[in-house]
Amino acid sequence: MVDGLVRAIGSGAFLADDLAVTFGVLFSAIWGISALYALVTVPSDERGRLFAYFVPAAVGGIGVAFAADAVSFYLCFALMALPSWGLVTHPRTAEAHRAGTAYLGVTVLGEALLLAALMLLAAEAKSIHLAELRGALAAAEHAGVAFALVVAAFGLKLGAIGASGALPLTYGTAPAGAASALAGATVKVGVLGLLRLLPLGEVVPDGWGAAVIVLGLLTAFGAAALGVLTTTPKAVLGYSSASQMGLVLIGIGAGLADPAAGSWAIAAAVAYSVHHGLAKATLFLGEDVVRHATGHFRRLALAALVLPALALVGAPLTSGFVAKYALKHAVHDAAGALPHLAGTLLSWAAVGTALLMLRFFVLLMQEPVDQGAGTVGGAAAPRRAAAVLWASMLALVAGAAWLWPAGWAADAAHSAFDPTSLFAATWPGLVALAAALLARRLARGAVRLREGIVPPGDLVAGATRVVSAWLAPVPAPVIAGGRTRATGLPRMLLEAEGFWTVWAVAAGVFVVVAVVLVLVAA
Amino acid sequence: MNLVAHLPVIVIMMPLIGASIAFVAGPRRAPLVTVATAVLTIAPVAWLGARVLAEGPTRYEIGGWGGPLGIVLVADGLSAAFLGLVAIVGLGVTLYATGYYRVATGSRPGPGHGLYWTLWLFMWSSLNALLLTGDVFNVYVCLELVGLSAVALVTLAEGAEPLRAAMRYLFASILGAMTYLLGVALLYAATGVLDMRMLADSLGPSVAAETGLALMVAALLLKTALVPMHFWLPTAHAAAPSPVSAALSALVVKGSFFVTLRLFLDVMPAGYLGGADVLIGVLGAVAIVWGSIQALLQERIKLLVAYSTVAQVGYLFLLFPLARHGGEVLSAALLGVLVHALAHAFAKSSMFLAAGVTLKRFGHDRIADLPGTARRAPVIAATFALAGVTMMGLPPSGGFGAKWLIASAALASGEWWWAAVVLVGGLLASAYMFRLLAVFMAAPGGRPLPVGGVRTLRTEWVPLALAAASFLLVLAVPLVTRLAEASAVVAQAGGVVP
Amino acid sequence: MSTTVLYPLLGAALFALGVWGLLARKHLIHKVIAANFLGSGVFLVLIGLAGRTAGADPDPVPLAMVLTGIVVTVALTALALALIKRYYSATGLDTLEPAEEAEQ
Repeated sequence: MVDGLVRAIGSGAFLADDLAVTFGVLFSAIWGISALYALVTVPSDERGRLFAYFVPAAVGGIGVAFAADAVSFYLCFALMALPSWGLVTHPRTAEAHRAGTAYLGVTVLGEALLLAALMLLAAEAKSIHLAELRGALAAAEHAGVAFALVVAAFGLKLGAIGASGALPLTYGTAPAGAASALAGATVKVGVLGLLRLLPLGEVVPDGWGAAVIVLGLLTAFGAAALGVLTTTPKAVLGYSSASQMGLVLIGIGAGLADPAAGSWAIAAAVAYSVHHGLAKATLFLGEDVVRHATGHFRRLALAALVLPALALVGAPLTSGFVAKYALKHAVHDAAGALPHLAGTLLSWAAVGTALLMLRFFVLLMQEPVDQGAGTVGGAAAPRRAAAVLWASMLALVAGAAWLWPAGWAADAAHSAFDPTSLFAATWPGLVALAAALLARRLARGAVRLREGIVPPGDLVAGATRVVSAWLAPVPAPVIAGGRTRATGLPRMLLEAEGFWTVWAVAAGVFVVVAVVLVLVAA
Repeated sequence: MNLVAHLPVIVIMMPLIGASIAFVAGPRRAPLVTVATAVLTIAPVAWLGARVLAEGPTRYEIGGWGGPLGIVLVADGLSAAFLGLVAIVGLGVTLYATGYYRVATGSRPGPGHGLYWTLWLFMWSSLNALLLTGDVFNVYVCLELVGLSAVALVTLAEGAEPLRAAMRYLFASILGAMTYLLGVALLYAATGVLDMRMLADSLGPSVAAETGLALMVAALLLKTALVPMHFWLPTAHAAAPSPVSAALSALVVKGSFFVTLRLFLDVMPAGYLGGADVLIGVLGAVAIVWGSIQALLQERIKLLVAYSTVAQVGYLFLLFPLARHGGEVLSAALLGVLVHALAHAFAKSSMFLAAGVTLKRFGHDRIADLPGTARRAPVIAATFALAGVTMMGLPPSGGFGAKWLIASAALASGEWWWAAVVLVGGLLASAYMFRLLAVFMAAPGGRPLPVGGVRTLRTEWVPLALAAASFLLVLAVPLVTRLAEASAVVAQAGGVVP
Repeated sequence: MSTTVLYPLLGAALFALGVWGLLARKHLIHKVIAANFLGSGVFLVLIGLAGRTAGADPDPVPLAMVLTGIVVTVALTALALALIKRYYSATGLDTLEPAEEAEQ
């Protein structure tokens, strides 16, 4: 125990298996391009402040892919997640501050749950190596608790339903270069964590698979519904991330429900991470490029953004199609009614994704041109460099479907041309288009979504508002005279402490404790 | 003359002699004398530690008088670890104080300056004696000496509030010390000995001895400010001058905890006080939650840091319910608590010292009125951030190592709820530290912060160095492990590393 | 009733009285006097113990403890009185908590 702790910190317990290399390359690419993008787009007087947070977050965010034991994983996870708060609060507006507080709340809660899970499993496995922790999970004394902790900890990171609101909130305020890294890379750490700790392909207690599938379904559809109702392009993208991660959860649930589906579940989770990471990072950078472009170039950029959007919907010849191919196999291979139901619902989830992408484009086209930091139409040099970086990201998205190393990806590419799967891949998009046009017609003059029925952040924002109202530090004039402005629960707690610390009460309490100790002892 | 044999008494005498010289030398030369003393005290402490590691625990009879009348000093791994802590933090606090009292009023020494040095060295000497004594009555004397000098140090701050706080502290201290002494009297009535080792051999089932020990433990809990007996701590620690706050929060509460540790692990057989150890663990858990919640609601940095001490002290007491399990659980829990005591001492002293700089530079320590501190006083903000990492228990800090060990011990014992408390405590600590750090990192407000006092290297960099020590403490875990193994209790439990 | 029983019982009663006084009396000087009751109570217990083996010489250890204790208590009392004097001149108060709280 002690030995392991010292060794882990002294020598750094890292490894480079397939999973580590895949995620490591993915994270490096996204963090790297995002860093360059931030470098050229963020004003020079803000660069120092941004990169003071960006660099540690990137180091942790890439390092976590290679972590082999609980301590190094937790260390990298924290190094990635906590400094990211500085990325969210970067604009220093009240809104950014609120988003930062919400982000921090979700993050710290997730870390506590993760630490609890790691400790529980380490005590069970008598080791801190992730592989042994995974081996110990299914047979652990408190297996159910450990499983729930693992899913909750990474579910918070993935934006599972209930925590989905954290994603649009945080991406909404972070600069584009940071938002693309957060959406592209850090969310995928949740997937990596689940793959590292859940024994996919092995027999696990009944109900685990079903629980994760249900969580995935709720997330996929819930986040899509919330996303359609929001009013900024970045918020739509945030909810879309949560919705996509719901699909990953469905795949992982299928792998847990039936060991036979384990290897497809892993393949689907990895494929979704790569595909969605690249596509979402490209969308975030593209959103920024479009907002800063005018005229001809703006139209060109909007057109180019269709590629990552189509990839997310799972159109043939895109990386999304490959990922969905693996996911379909996973839910198909898993025995049981629930995985099959989930398989049927997958196409309807694609309708949700298509709707989100349409909503994104509608909102993006309404965005005014941001003249502040120069536009590409005006040919400002930094903006041109940014456009080039974004184009390199686009190239990665386009190539992702073809560079896939696994043999099955070639099968997937071939299958794209058989009529049934071609139909399966295209009808959700058409249905979504029809629905969007219908909704547009119906909504005209009726309910307008301008103010947003759902404020970005839903539950997370609401909880944050309540807690921050209680805990907001009070400036000088209000606390003068030793009286606090606090109301409600905080006031009660402070008054309780005030009562206990009156001398006669406090000393009386001591006498009581002494007497109780004597009675217990003698 | 064989100096080596006299090391334990040298460790006590060194600050005592320094205190006397500082008093006679006068306020102008006292800082130099104190710094010299602090530096010189490190040598015998390190030597004693090395000797304990090489040869195991040693006993020293003061003046050649053995028990039952004479006073015996005992140096083992536990006392060496705490002595080393006092020496390192003590040196940091001393260096800081030389800058702090110059900052106070420009070039002229500020109020309280003259007596600070002597009283601080007296307290240091008393603490060393407390950590070395092997005799339960001598513990009483040392506790009183520490308490007297601590109360006097609190009164060095200006204004009425510190006087009120000092008075509450004094009355609490008297109540605790007298209860302890009553316990000693009953214990002596039952056993006829005061020496801890002889007590360990002669303790049998006896109502008088059990009652006596229960009273002693209750008194020590009051002195360590375990909830709900923490009432004196936040005001006293927050009102004192910052170098004093740091020493009180980092070192003095650890002194009475150390004696509790000795009584439970070295003197009493397991379960001697019935369910008292579980009761104390429950109070520790309550302390973690209640202290953290109060820290979360405070409007001033020094009060936040003081309530954080109330919470962090709670972790120390989780040891006792876990110690009942013996063996591996006991060893891991003891090592965890030891690392926690050290990490907390470094982090807490750094935060109180940094709070002192904030007060001097900006004229106040109201959290809401300090946005932009990260830009205006980056070293201060970095100190709170580093110390905060330990408080939250994030890797690779000492706080993480401690929490991991304590929670692992809890899980290994099957009593997982103690581990849950550790995690909840980390969560709450994150909340109160981030509440402070978020203000520091925010954009500077419209009103410019008033800048007072003179910046000196010592007042900013000493806290940062202490915070860095708490952060890097995990590197010292092998040494702490060896020290823990050089104590009787762990040797009996079969070593630390499972 | 022998000294070994009577003295400790009286001492315990005096101690309890001291605790009561320290808790309940508001005036700071009264608290200091009550604190001295605490000390005297413990010393009485110790003195009773010194003579517990009938016929033999009294045990010197409790007597040494009492002497040490008296020295410490005198020092404590002096510090407390000096502190009260300073506190009174700074605030004009002779109680710990300001009047309205002290009344309750």
